[in-house]
Amino acid sequence: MDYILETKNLIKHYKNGKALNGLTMHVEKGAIYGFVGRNGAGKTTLIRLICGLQEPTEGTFTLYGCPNKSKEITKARRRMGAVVETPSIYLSMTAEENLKQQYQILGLPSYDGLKDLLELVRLGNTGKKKAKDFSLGMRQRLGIAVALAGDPDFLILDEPANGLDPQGIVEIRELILRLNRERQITVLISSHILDELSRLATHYGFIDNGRMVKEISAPELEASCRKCLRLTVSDARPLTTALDKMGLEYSVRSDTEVDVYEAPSVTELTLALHSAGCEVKNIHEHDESLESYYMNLVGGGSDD
Amino acid sequence: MTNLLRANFSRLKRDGMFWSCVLTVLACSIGFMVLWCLENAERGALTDLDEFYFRLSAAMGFFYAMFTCLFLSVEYGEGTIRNKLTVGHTRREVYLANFITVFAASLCMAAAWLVGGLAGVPFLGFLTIGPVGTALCFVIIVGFTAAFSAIYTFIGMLNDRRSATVITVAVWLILVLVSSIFENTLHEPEEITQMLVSVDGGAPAAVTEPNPYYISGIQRTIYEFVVDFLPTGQSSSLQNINIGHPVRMLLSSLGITAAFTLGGLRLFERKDLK
Repeated sequence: MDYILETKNLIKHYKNGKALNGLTMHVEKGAIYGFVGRNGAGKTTLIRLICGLQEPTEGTFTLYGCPNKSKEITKARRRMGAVVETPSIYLSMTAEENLKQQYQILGLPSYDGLKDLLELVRLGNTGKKKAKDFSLGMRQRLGIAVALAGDPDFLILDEPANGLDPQGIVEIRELILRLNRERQITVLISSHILDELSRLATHYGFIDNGRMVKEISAPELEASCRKCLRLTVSDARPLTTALDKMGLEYSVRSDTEVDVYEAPSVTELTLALHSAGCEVKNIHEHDESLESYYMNLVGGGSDD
Repeated sequence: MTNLLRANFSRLKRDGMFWSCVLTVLACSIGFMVLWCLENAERGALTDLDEFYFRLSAAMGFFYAMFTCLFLSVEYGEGTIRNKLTVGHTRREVYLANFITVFAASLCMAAAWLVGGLAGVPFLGFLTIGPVGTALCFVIIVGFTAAFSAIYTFIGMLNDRRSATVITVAVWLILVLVSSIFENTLHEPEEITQMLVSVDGGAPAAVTEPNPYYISGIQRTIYEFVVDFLPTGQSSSLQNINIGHPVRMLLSSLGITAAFTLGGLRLFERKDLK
Protein backbone atom coordinates (compact mmCIF):
# COMPACT_ATOMS: atom_id res chain seq x y z
CA MET A 1 0.00 0.00 0.00
CA ASP A 2 1.25 3.47 -0.94
CA TYR A 3 0.95 5.70 2.10
CA ILE A 4 1.50 9.46 2.14
CA LEU A 5 1.47 9.56 5.92
CA GLU A 6 2.09 6.82 8.46
CA THR A 7 2.38 7.32 12.19
CA LYS A 8 3.66 4.75 14.67
CA ASN A 9 2.84 4.94 18.38
CA LEU A 10 2.97 8.71 18.48
CA ILE A 11 2.96 10.15 21.98
CA LYS A 12 2.77 13.81 22.86
CA HIS A 13 2.95 15.00 26.45
CA TYR A 14 1.94 18.45 27.57
CA LYS A 15 2.25 19.84 31.08
CA ASN A 16 -1.38 18.94 31.73
CA GLY A 17 -1.25 15.40 30.37
CA LYS A 18 -1.01 13.23 27.27
CA ALA A 19 -2.60 14.61 24.12
CA LEU A 20 -1.53 11.63 22.00
CA ASN A 21 -1.17 8.21 23.52
CA GLY A 22 0.42 5.84 21.02
CA LEU A 23 -1.41 6.95 17.89
CA THR A 24 -0.92 4.82 14.79
CA MET A 25 -2.54 5.80 11.51
CA HIS A 26 -2.18 5.31 7.74
CA VAL A 27 -3.22 7.81 5.09
CA GLU A 28 -3.36 6.24 1.64
CA LYS A 29 -2.33 8.14 -1.45
CA GLY A 30 -5.35 9.67 -3.20
CA ALA A 31 -7.62 9.31 -0.17
CA ILE A 32 -9.82 11.83 1.55
CA TYR A 33 -9.07 10.72 5.08
CA GLY A 34 -11.66 11.78 7.63
CA PHE A 35 -10.04 12.13 11.01
CA VAL A 36 -12.85 11.86 13.53
CA GLY A 37 -12.79 12.51 17.23
CA ARG A 38 -14.39 14.57 19.94
CA ASN A 39 -12.88 17.87 21.15
CA GLY A 40 -9.60 17.23 22.92
CA ALA A 41 -9.19 13.76 21.38
CA GLY A 42 -5.83 14.75 19.88
CA LYS A 43 -6.71 15.62 16.26
CA THR A 44 -5.09 19.06 16.19
CA THR A 45 -2.09 17.84 18.17
CA LEU A 46 -1.38 15.21 15.50
CA ILE A 47 -1.70 17.84 12.76
CA ARG A 48 0.71 20.13 14.63
CA LEU A 49 3.26 17.32 14.80
CA ILE A 50 2.97 16.53 11.09
CA CYS A 51 3.32 20.21 10.19
CA GLY A 52 6.47 20.57 12.30
CA LEU A 53 4.92 23.00 14.76
CA GLN A 54 5.67 20.59 17.58
CA GLU A 55 7.86 17.54 18.11
CA PRO A 56 6.49 14.19 19.31
CA THR A 57 7.53 13.11 22.80
CA GLU A 58 7.83 9.52 21.56
CA GLY A 59 7.02 7.54 18.44
CA THR A 60 7.64 8.33 14.80
CA PHE A 61 5.88 9.24 11.61
CA THR A 62 6.80 9.17 7.96
CA LEU A 63 5.72 11.68 5.34
CA TYR A 64 6.12 10.37 1.78
CA GLY A 65 8.21 7.63 3.37
CA CYS A 66 10.55 10.15 4.97
CA PRO A 67 11.00 9.69 8.77
CA ASN A 68 10.26 12.70 10.96
CA LYS A 69 13.73 12.63 12.54
CA SER A 70 15.41 12.81 9.15
CA LYS A 71 16.67 16.11 7.78
CA GLU A 72 14.83 15.34 4.55
CA ILE A 73 11.50 15.87 6.31
CA THR A 74 11.68 19.60 5.46
CA LYS A 75 11.81 18.67 1.76
CA ALA A 76 8.88 16.30 2.21
CA ARG A 77 6.91 19.11 3.85
CA ARG A 78 7.32 21.21 0.71
CA ARG A 79 4.93 18.77 -0.95
CA MET A 80 2.16 19.43 1.55
CA GLY A 81 -0.11 22.30 2.48
CA ALA A 82 -2.06 22.78 5.67
CA VAL A 83 -4.70 24.89 7.33
CA VAL A 84 -4.24 24.33 11.07
CA GLU A 85 -7.14 25.48 13.25
CA THR A 86 -7.72 28.98 11.82
CA PRO A 87 -6.71 30.12 8.32
CA SER A 88 -3.15 31.51 8.44
CA ILE A 89 -3.52 34.75 6.52
CA TYR A 90 -2.41 38.36 6.92
CA LEU A 91 -5.63 40.21 7.70
CA SER A 92 -4.24 43.55 6.55
CA MET A 93 -3.54 42.20 3.06
CA THR A 94 -5.79 41.39 0.10
CA ALA A 95 -6.28 37.83 -1.11
CA GLU A 96 -3.78 38.40 -3.92
CA GLU A 97 -1.17 39.91 -1.57
CA ASN A 98 -1.55 36.97 0.79
CA LEU A 99 -0.90 34.56 -2.05
CA LYS A 100 2.08 36.59 -3.27
CA GLN A 101 3.53 36.36 0.26
CA GLN A 102 3.19 32.59 0.19
CA TYR A 103 4.69 32.40 -3.30
CA GLN A 104 7.70 34.33 -1.98
CA ILE A 105 7.98 32.10 1.09
CA LEU A 106 8.03 29.11 -1.24
CA GLY A 107 10.56 30.81 -3.50
CA LEU A 108 8.41 30.40 -6.61
CA PRO A 109 10.02 32.21 -9.53
CA SER A 110 6.85 33.95 -10.73
CA TYR A 111 3.26 34.62 -9.80
CA ASP A 112 1.99 32.37 -12.61
CA GLY A 113 -1.08 30.46 -11.57
CA LEU A 114 -1.94 32.93 -8.80
CA LYS A 115 -5.10 34.14 -10.56
CA ASP A 116 -6.15 30.57 -11.31
CA LEU A 117 -5.71 29.67 -7.67
CA LEU A 118 -7.90 32.59 -6.62
CA GLU A 119 -10.51 31.51 -9.16
CA LEU A 120 -10.31 27.93 -7.88
CA VAL A 121 -11.30 29.06 -4.40
CA ARG A 122 -13.77 31.57 -5.86
CA LEU A 123 -11.96 34.65 -4.59
CA GLY A 124 -11.01 35.98 -8.00
CA ASN A 125 -13.24 39.02 -7.71
CA THR A 126 -12.25 40.26 -4.24
CA GLY A 127 -9.99 42.99 -5.67
CA LYS A 128 -8.58 45.34 -3.04
CA LYS A 129 -10.76 44.04 -0.22
CA LYS A 130 -8.59 43.22 2.80
CA ALA A 131 -8.81 39.77 4.37
CA LYS A 132 -10.02 41.35 7.62
CA ASP A 133 -13.23 42.32 5.77
CA PHE A 134 -13.78 38.78 4.43
CA SER A 135 -16.48 36.47 5.74
CA LEU A 136 -15.35 33.40 7.68
CA GLY A 137 -15.97 31.20 4.62
CA MET A 138 -13.88 33.49 2.40
CA ARG A 139 -11.05 33.44 4.94
CA GLN A 140 -11.24 29.68 5.08
CA ARG A 141 -11.05 29.46 1.29
CA LEU A 142 -8.16 31.92 1.23
CA GLY A 143 -6.41 29.78 3.85
CA ILE A 144 -6.86 26.77 1.58
CA ALA A 145 -5.55 28.78 -1.41
CA VAL A 146 -2.43 29.70 0.61
CA ALA A 147 -2.00 26.03 1.48
CA LEU A 148 -2.33 25.16 -2.22
CA ALA A 149 0.21 27.76 -3.36
CA GLY A 150 3.08 25.30 -3.60
CA ASP A 151 0.97 22.90 -5.69
CA PRO A 152 1.03 20.25 -2.92
CA ASP A 153 -0.17 16.71 -3.34
CA PHE A 154 -1.13 16.35 0.30
CA LEU A 155 -3.49 18.80 1.98
CA ILE A 156 -4.24 18.86 5.71
CA LEU A 157 -7.38 20.66 6.83
CA ASP A 158 -8.14 21.02 10.51
CA GLU A 159 -11.87 21.48 11.10
CA PRO A 160 -12.44 23.30 7.79
CA ALA A 161 -16.19 23.62 8.33
CA ASN A 162 -15.93 25.16 11.81
CA GLY A 163 -18.05 28.27 12.16
CA LEU A 164 -19.22 28.24 8.54
CA ASP A 165 -22.80 28.78 7.46
CA PRO A 166 -24.51 26.00 5.41
CA GLN A 167 -23.52 27.62 2.10
CA GLY A 168 -19.92 27.98 3.26
CA ILE A 169 -19.86 24.31 4.27
CA VAL A 170 -21.14 23.26 0.83
CA GLU A 171 -18.53 25.46 -0.90
CA ILE A 172 -15.67 23.99 1.12
CA ARG A 173 -16.95 20.46 0.50
CA GLU A 174 -17.16 21.02 -3.25
CA LEU A 175 -13.68 22.54 -3.26
CA ILE A 176 -12.19 19.57 -1.42
CA LEU A 177 -13.90 17.10 -3.74
CA ARG A 178 -12.67 19.02 -6.80
CA LEU A 179 -9.10 19.11 -5.47
CA ASN A 180 -9.17 15.40 -4.82
CA ARG A 181 -10.75 14.41 -8.13
CA GLU A 182 -9.21 16.92 -10.51
CA ARG A 183 -5.77 17.38 -8.97
CA GLN A 184 -5.43 14.00 -7.25
CA ILE A 185 -4.60 15.73 -3.97
CA THR A 186 -4.66 13.48 -0.92
CA VAL A 187 -6.62 15.21 1.83
CA LEU A 188 -6.57 14.68 5.59
CA ILE A 189 -9.57 16.38 7.20
CA SER A 190 -10.10 16.50 10.91
CA SER A 191 -13.67 17.11 11.92
CA HIS A 192 -16.36 16.33 14.38
CA ILE A 193 -19.16 17.24 11.97
CA LEU A 194 -19.76 13.63 11.01
CA ASP A 195 -22.62 14.17 8.58
CA GLU A 196 -20.44 16.54 6.55
CA LEU A 197 -17.48 14.19 6.67
CA SER A 198 -19.58 11.26 5.47
CA ARG A 199 -20.21 13.13 2.19
CA LEU A 200 -16.50 13.44 1.51
CA ALA A 201 -14.30 10.84 3.09
CA THR A 202 -13.00 7.75 1.36
CA HIS A 203 -11.30 6.58 4.55
CA TYR A 204 -11.90 7.19 8.22
CA GLY A 205 -9.75 7.20 11.32
CA PHE A 206 -11.55 7.34 14.65
CA ILE A 207 -9.48 8.76 17.48
CA ASP A 208 -10.29 8.87 21.16
CA ASN A 209 -8.13 9.92 24.10
CA GLY A 210 -5.09 10.20 21.85
CA ARG A 211 -5.42 6.67 20.44
CA MET A 212 -6.62 5.39 17.10
CA VAL A 213 -9.72 3.37 17.85
CA LYS A 214 -10.38 2.21 14.29
CA GLU A 215 -9.30 2.89 10.72
CA ILE A 216 -11.80 1.92 8.10
CA SER A 217 -12.49 2.61 4.43
CA ALA A 218 -15.74 4.23 3.35
CA PRO A 219 -17.06 1.04 1.62
CA GLU A 220 -16.27 -0.99 4.74
CA LEU A 221 -17.99 1.58 6.87
CA GLU A 222 -20.97 1.64 4.54
CA ALA A 223 -21.24 -2.12 4.83
CA SER A 224 -21.14 -1.85 8.61
CA CYS A 225 -23.72 0.88 8.60
CA ARG A 226 -26.06 -0.74 6.02
CA LYS A 227 -29.74 -0.96 6.97
CA CYS A 228 -30.55 -4.57 7.86
CA LEU A 229 -32.62 -6.89 9.96
CA ARG A 230 -30.50 -8.35 12.75
CA LEU A 231 -31.62 -11.78 13.92
CA THR A 232 -30.38 -13.48 17.06
CA VAL A 233 -31.06 -17.21 16.95
CA SER A 234 -30.04 -20.32 18.87
CA ASP A 235 -28.00 -21.58 15.88
CA ALA A 236 -27.06 -19.58 12.77
CA ARG A 237 -26.66 -22.62 10.46
CA PRO A 238 -30.40 -23.44 9.91
CA LEU A 239 -31.00 -19.71 9.44
CA THR A 240 -28.37 -19.36 6.68
CA THR A 241 -29.82 -22.47 4.96
CA ALA A 242 -33.29 -20.91 5.02
CA LEU A 243 -31.94 -17.55 3.78
CA ASP A 244 -30.09 -19.26 0.94
CA LYS A 245 -33.31 -21.01 -0.08
CA MET A 246 -35.14 -17.66 -0.02
CA GLY A 247 -32.31 -16.06 -2.06
CA LEU A 248 -31.68 -13.21 0.42
CA GLU A 249 -28.39 -11.35 0.97
CA TYR A 250 -27.02 -11.69 4.49
CA SER A 251 -23.85 -11.66 6.57
CA VAL A 252 -23.05 -13.86 9.54
CA ARG A 253 -21.88 -11.87 12.54
CA SER A 254 -21.47 -14.79 14.95
CA ASP A 255 -22.73 -18.35 15.60
CA THR A 256 -26.00 -16.89 16.78
CA GLU A 257 -26.31 -13.56 14.95
CA VAL A 258 -27.04 -12.82 11.28
CA ASP A 259 -27.72 -9.54 9.42
CA VAL A 260 -30.25 -9.83 6.57
CA TYR A 261 -30.01 -6.98 4.05
CA GLU A 262 -33.30 -7.44 2.21
CA ALA A 263 -36.73 -7.42 3.75
CA PRO A 264 -37.74 -11.07 4.22
CA SER A 265 -41.18 -12.41 5.00
CA VAL A 266 -40.75 -12.75 8.75
CA THR A 267 -43.61 -15.28 9.04
CA GLU A 268 -42.13 -17.48 6.31
CA LEU A 269 -38.68 -17.25 7.87
CA THR A 270 -39.77 -18.04 11.44
CA LEU A 271 -41.87 -20.99 10.25
CA ALA A 272 -38.88 -22.36 8.31
CA LEU A 273 -36.66 -21.95 11.38
CA HIS A 274 -39.25 -23.51 13.68
CA SER A 275 -39.40 -26.62 11.47
CA ALA A 276 -35.55 -26.75 11.54
CA GLY A 277 -35.60 -26.65 15.34
CA CYS A 278 -34.01 -23.23 15.54
CA GLU A 279 -35.27 -20.76 18.13
CA VAL A 280 -35.57 -17.07 17.16
CA LYS A 281 -34.51 -15.08 20.20
CA ASN A 282 -34.56 -11.54 18.85
CA ILE A 283 -35.27 -9.62 15.63
CA HIS A 284 -34.64 -5.91 15.28
CA GLU A 285 -34.03 -3.43 12.50
CA HIS A 286 -30.46 -2.20 12.46
CA ASP A 287 -29.76 1.17 10.78
CA GLU A 288 -26.42 2.67 11.78
CA SER A 289 -25.29 6.11 10.66
CA LEU A 290 -21.68 7.30 10.85
CA GLU A 291 -22.67 9.10 14.00
CA SER A 292 -24.04 6.03 15.75
CA TYR A 293 -21.12 3.97 14.43
CA TYR A 294 -18.75 6.47 16.02
CA MET A 295 -20.72 6.57 19.26
CA ASN A 296 -20.69 2.76 19.44
CA LEU A 297 -16.98 2.79 18.80
CA VAL A 298 -15.85 5.36 21.35
CA GLY A 299 -18.77 5.31 23.76
CA GLY A 300 -20.91 8.30 24.66
CA GLY A 301 -18.87 9.69 27.54
CA SER A 302 -18.29 13.35 28.18
CA ASP A 303 -15.59 15.44 26.56
CA ASP A 304 -13.59 15.65 29.75
CA MET B 1 16.32 31.76 4.06
CA THR B 2 16.51 34.11 1.06
CA ASN B 3 12.87 33.32 0.30
CA LEU B 4 11.83 34.14 3.84
CA LEU B 5 13.77 37.41 3.77
CA ARG B 6 12.22 38.36 0.44
CA ALA B 7 8.75 37.64 1.85
CA ASN B 8 9.50 39.54 5.08
CA PHE B 9 10.81 42.63 3.29
CA SER B 10 7.88 42.56 0.92
CA ARG B 11 5.59 42.51 3.95
CA LEU B 12 7.61 45.28 5.59
CA LYS B 13 7.12 47.50 2.54
CA ARG B 14 3.34 47.18 2.95
CA ASP B 15 3.37 47.33 6.75
CA GLY B 16 1.53 50.38 8.06
CA MET B 17 3.07 50.05 11.52
CA PHE B 18 6.58 50.19 10.07
CA TRP B 19 5.92 53.34 8.07
CA SER B 20 4.10 54.91 11.03
CA CYS B 21 7.15 54.29 13.23
CA VAL B 22 9.57 55.66 10.61
CA LEU B 23 7.46 58.79 10.03
CA THR B 24 6.94 59.33 13.76
CA VAL B 25 10.68 59.12 14.38
CA LEU B 26 11.34 61.50 11.47
CA ALA B 27 8.70 63.96 12.71
CA CYS B 28 10.00 63.80 16.29
CA SER B 29 13.57 64.26 15.13
CA ILE B 30 12.77 67.31 12.97
CA GLY B 31 10.30 68.75 15.48
CA PHE B 32 12.53 68.48 18.54
CA MET B 33 15.60 69.73 16.67
CA VAL B 34 13.79 72.86 15.45
CA LEU B 35 12.27 73.39 18.90
CA TRP B 36 15.63 73.10 20.68
CA CYS B 37 17.30 75.40 18.17
CA LEU B 38 14.57 78.06 18.44
CA GLU B 39 14.54 77.87 22.25
CA ASN B 40 18.30 78.22 22.53
CA ALA B 41 18.44 80.93 19.87
CA GLU B 42 15.94 82.93 21.92
CA ARG B 43 18.21 82.64 24.96
CA GLY B 44 21.23 83.39 22.80
CA ALA B 45 22.71 80.05 23.83
CA LEU B 46 23.10 78.36 20.44
CA THR B 47 26.34 76.37 20.38
CA ASP B 48 26.80 73.64 17.78
CA LEU B 49 24.91 70.72 16.25
CA ASP B 50 26.81 68.20 18.41
CA GLU B 51 24.81 69.27 21.45
CA PHE B 52 21.44 68.31 19.95
CA TYR B 53 22.04 65.91 17.09
CA PHE B 54 22.05 62.64 19.07
CA ARG B 55 19.65 63.72 21.80
CA LEU B 56 16.85 61.45 20.57
CA SER B 57 19.04 58.35 20.86
CA ALA B 58 17.69 57.42 24.31
CA ALA B 59 14.16 57.15 22.89
CA MET B 60 15.10 54.94 19.95
CA GLY B 61 14.93 51.76 22.04
CA PHE B 62 11.26 52.49 22.65
CA PHE B 63 10.46 52.89 18.93
CA TYR B 64 12.37 49.70 18.13
CA ALA B 65 10.44 47.86 20.87
CA MET B 66 7.04 49.01 19.66
CA PHE B 67 7.74 48.07 16.07
CA THR B 68 9.39 44.72 16.78
CA CYS B 69 6.74 43.32 19.04
CA LEU B 70 3.89 44.46 16.80
CA PHE B 71 5.59 43.10 13.67
CA LEU B 72 6.37 39.73 15.22
CA SER B 73 3.08 39.37 17.09
CA VAL B 74 1.23 39.34 13.74
CA GLU B 75 3.06 36.11 12.88
CA TYR B 76 1.58 34.43 15.93
CA GLY B 77 -1.70 36.34 16.13
CA GLU B 78 -2.66 35.65 12.51
CA GLY B 79 -0.96 32.25 12.50
CA THR B 80 1.20 33.01 9.46
CA ILE B 81 4.34 31.59 11.09
CA ARG B 82 2.72 28.19 10.43
CA ASN B 83 2.76 28.84 6.68
CA LYS B 84 6.55 29.07 6.83
CA LEU B 85 7.15 25.95 8.91
CA THR B 86 4.52 23.80 7.22
CA VAL B 87 6.17 24.22 3.83
CA GLY B 88 9.51 23.07 5.17
CA HIS B 89 11.46 26.11 6.36
CA THR B 90 13.48 25.30 9.45
CA ARG B 91 12.93 27.14 12.72
CA ARG B 92 16.47 28.46 12.51
CA GLU B 93 15.70 30.07 9.14
CA VAL B 94 12.43 31.56 10.38
CA TYR B 95 14.07 33.03 13.51
CA LEU B 96 17.09 34.47 11.70
CA ALA B 97 14.99 35.91 8.88
CA ASN B 98 12.78 37.66 11.42
CA PHE B 99 15.79 38.99 13.33
CA ILE B 100 17.40 40.36 10.16
CA THR B 101 14.12 41.98 9.09
CA VAL B 102 13.60 43.57 12.49
CA PHE B 103 17.21 44.81 12.54
CA ALA B 104 16.90 46.30 9.04
CA ALA B 105 13.61 47.99 9.95
CA SER B 106 15.18 49.40 13.13
CA LEU B 107 18.10 50.74 11.10
CA CYS B 108 15.58 52.48 8.84
CA MET B 109 14.12 54.14 11.94
CA ALA B 110 17.61 55.14 13.06
CA ALA B 111 18.23 56.61 9.59
CA ALA B 112 14.97 58.57 9.84
CA TRP B 113 16.15 59.95 13.20
CA LEU B 114 19.56 60.98 11.82
CA VAL B 115 18.11 62.48 8.64
CA GLY B 116 15.53 64.39 10.69
CA GLY B 117 18.33 65.76 12.88
CA LEU B 118 19.77 67.54 9.85
CA ALA B 119 16.98 70.09 10.34
CA GLY B 120 19.40 71.68 12.82
CA VAL B 121 22.05 72.34 10.15
CA PRO B 122 20.59 75.70 9.00
CA PHE B 123 20.75 76.91 12.63
CA LEU B 124 23.98 75.32 13.83
CA GLY B 125 25.99 74.14 10.86
CA PHE B 126 27.40 70.63 10.60
CA LEU B 127 28.76 68.38 13.37
CA THR B 128 32.09 69.50 14.73
CA ILE B 129 33.29 66.05 15.77
CA GLY B 130 34.74 65.38 12.33
CA PRO B 131 34.21 62.48 9.96
CA VAL B 132 35.92 59.90 12.20
CA GLY B 133 33.95 60.95 15.29
CA THR B 134 30.70 60.97 13.28
CA ALA B 135 31.43 57.57 11.78
CA LEU B 136 32.18 56.20 15.26
CA CYS B 137 28.85 57.50 16.54
CA PHE B 138 27.08 55.88 13.59
CA VAL B 139 28.81 52.54 14.19
CA ILE B 140 27.76 52.66 17.85
CA ILE B 141 24.18 53.36 16.74
CA VAL B 142 24.31 50.30 14.46
CA GLY B 143 25.73 48.30 17.39
CA PHE B 144 23.08 49.17 19.95
CA THR B 145 20.35 48.86 17.31
CA ALA B 146 21.50 45.28 16.67
CA ALA B 147 21.54 44.58 20.42
CA PHE B 148 18.03 45.99 20.89
CA SER B 149 16.80 44.00 17.87
CA ALA B 150 18.29 40.77 19.24
CA ILE B 151 16.69 41.29 22.67
CA TYR B 152 13.29 42.22 21.25
CA THR B 153 13.33 39.40 18.67
CA PHE B 154 14.13 36.99 21.50
CA ILE B 155 11.07 38.15 23.43
CA GLY B 156 8.80 38.35 20.37
CA MET B 157 9.70 34.95 18.98
CA LEU B 158 9.49 33.08 22.27
CA ASN B 159 6.30 34.67 23.52
CA ASP B 160 3.25 33.91 21.41
CA ARG B 161 0.84 35.75 23.67
CA ARG B 162 -0.47 39.27 23.25
CA SER B 163 1.46 40.21 26.40
CA ALA B 164 4.68 40.19 24.32
CA THR B 165 4.19 43.91 23.57
CA VAL B 166 3.89 44.77 27.25
CA ILE B 167 6.88 42.58 28.13
CA THR B 168 9.05 44.16 25.41
CA VAL B 169 8.27 47.72 26.49
CA ALA B 170 8.72 46.71 30.15
CA VAL B 171 12.16 45.27 29.35
CA TRP B 172 13.13 48.54 27.65
CA LEU B 173 11.94 50.52 30.69
CA ILE B 174 13.89 48.28 33.08
CA LEU B 175 17.03 48.66 30.96
CA VAL B 176 16.56 52.45 30.92
CA LEU B 177 16.09 52.46 34.68
CA VAL B 178 19.15 50.31 35.36
CA SER B 179 21.43 52.26 33.06
CA SER B 180 20.23 55.63 34.39
CA ILE B 181 20.86 54.54 38.00
CA PHE B 182 24.43 53.57 37.10
CA GLU B 183 24.93 56.65 34.96
CA ASN B 184 23.64 59.04 37.63
CA THR B 185 25.99 57.49 40.17
CA LEU B 186 28.90 57.96 37.76
CA HIS B 187 27.94 61.62 37.36
CA GLU B 188 28.22 62.28 41.09
CA PRO B 189 30.98 64.86 41.70
CA GLU B 190 34.03 63.80 43.64
CA GLU B 191 33.63 66.66 46.11
CA ILE B 192 30.69 68.71 47.23
CA THR B 193 30.70 72.25 48.51
CA GLN B 194 28.43 73.17 51.36
CA MET B 195 27.68 76.63 52.71
CA LEU B 196 27.94 76.85 56.52
CA VAL B 197 26.11 79.60 58.33
CA SER B 198 27.15 80.14 61.95
CA VAL B 199 24.45 80.78 64.55
CA ASP B 200 26.30 83.80 66.01
CA GLY B 201 25.64 85.83 62.87
CA GLY B 202 29.04 85.43 61.25
CA ALA B 203 29.55 85.40 57.46
CA PRO B 204 28.62 82.12 55.67
CA ALA B 205 31.61 79.97 54.81
CA ALA B 206 31.99 77.52 51.90
CA VAL B 207 33.26 74.11 52.95
CA THR B 208 34.40 71.54 50.39
CA GLU B 209 34.30 67.91 51.42
CA PRO B 210 34.35 64.49 49.70
CA ASN B 211 31.01 63.35 48.21
CA PRO B 212 29.96 60.11 49.96
CA TYR B 213 28.09 59.03 46.80
CA TYR B 214 31.12 59.36 44.59
CA ILE B 215 32.48 55.98 43.59
CA SER B 216 36.03 55.20 42.58
CA GLY B 217 38.37 52.29 41.92
CA ILE B 218 37.02 48.93 40.90
CA GLN B 219 33.44 49.97 41.70
CA ARG B 220 33.68 52.87 39.23
CA THR B 221 35.14 50.55 36.58
CA ILE B 222 32.21 48.15 37.05
CA TYR B 223 29.66 50.96 36.83
CA GLU B 224 31.32 52.30 33.68
CA PHE B 225 31.30 48.82 32.21
CA VAL B 226 27.56 48.37 32.91
CA VAL B 227 26.73 51.71 31.22
CA ASP B 228 28.90 50.82 28.21
CA PHE B 229 27.47 47.29 28.13
CA LEU B 230 23.73 48.02 28.13
CA PRO B 231 22.23 49.30 24.85
CA THR B 232 20.22 51.84 26.86
CA GLY B 233 23.46 52.99 28.53
CA GLN B 234 25.13 53.35 25.15
CA SER B 235 22.23 55.31 23.68
CA SER B 236 22.19 57.54 26.74
CA SER B 237 25.95 58.16 26.52
CA LEU B 238 25.56 59.02 22.85
CA GLN B 239 23.11 61.81 23.69
CA ASN B 240 26.06 63.94 24.80
CA ILE B 241 28.60 62.18 22.56
CA ASN B 242 30.16 60.86 25.76
CA ILE B 243 31.86 57.86 24.19
CA GLY B 244 34.65 56.90 26.55
CA HIS B 245 35.15 53.30 25.47
CA PRO B 246 33.92 52.83 21.90
CA VAL B 247 35.53 49.40 21.46
CA ARG B 248 33.97 48.13 24.66
CA MET B 249 30.59 49.47 23.55
CA LEU B 250 30.83 47.74 20.17
CA LEU B 251 32.02 44.46 21.66
CA SER B 252 29.17 44.62 24.20
CA SER B 253 26.62 45.13 21.44
CA LEU B 254 28.14 42.26 19.51
CA GLY B 255 28.10 40.04 22.61
CA ILE B 256 24.47 40.86 23.46
CA THR B 257 23.39 40.31 19.85
CA ALA B 258 25.19 36.97 19.63
CA ALA B 259 24.02 35.74 23.07
CA PHE B 260 20.36 36.62 22.57
CA THR B 261 20.27 35.32 18.99
CA LEU B 262 21.95 32.01 19.81
CA GLY B 263 19.88 31.58 22.97
CA GLY B 264 16.70 32.52 21.10
CA LEU B 265 17.46 30.06 18.31
CA ARG B 266 18.03 27.26 20.78
CA LEU B 267 14.83 27.92 22.70
CA PHE B 268 12.75 28.55 19.57
CA GLU B 269 13.81 25.21 18.13
CA ARG B 270 12.30 23.48 21.18
CA LYS B 271 9.19 25.61 21.44
CA ASP B 272 5.77 24.04 20.92
CA LEU B 273 3.92 26.23 18.45
CA LYS B 274 0.16 26.32 18.03
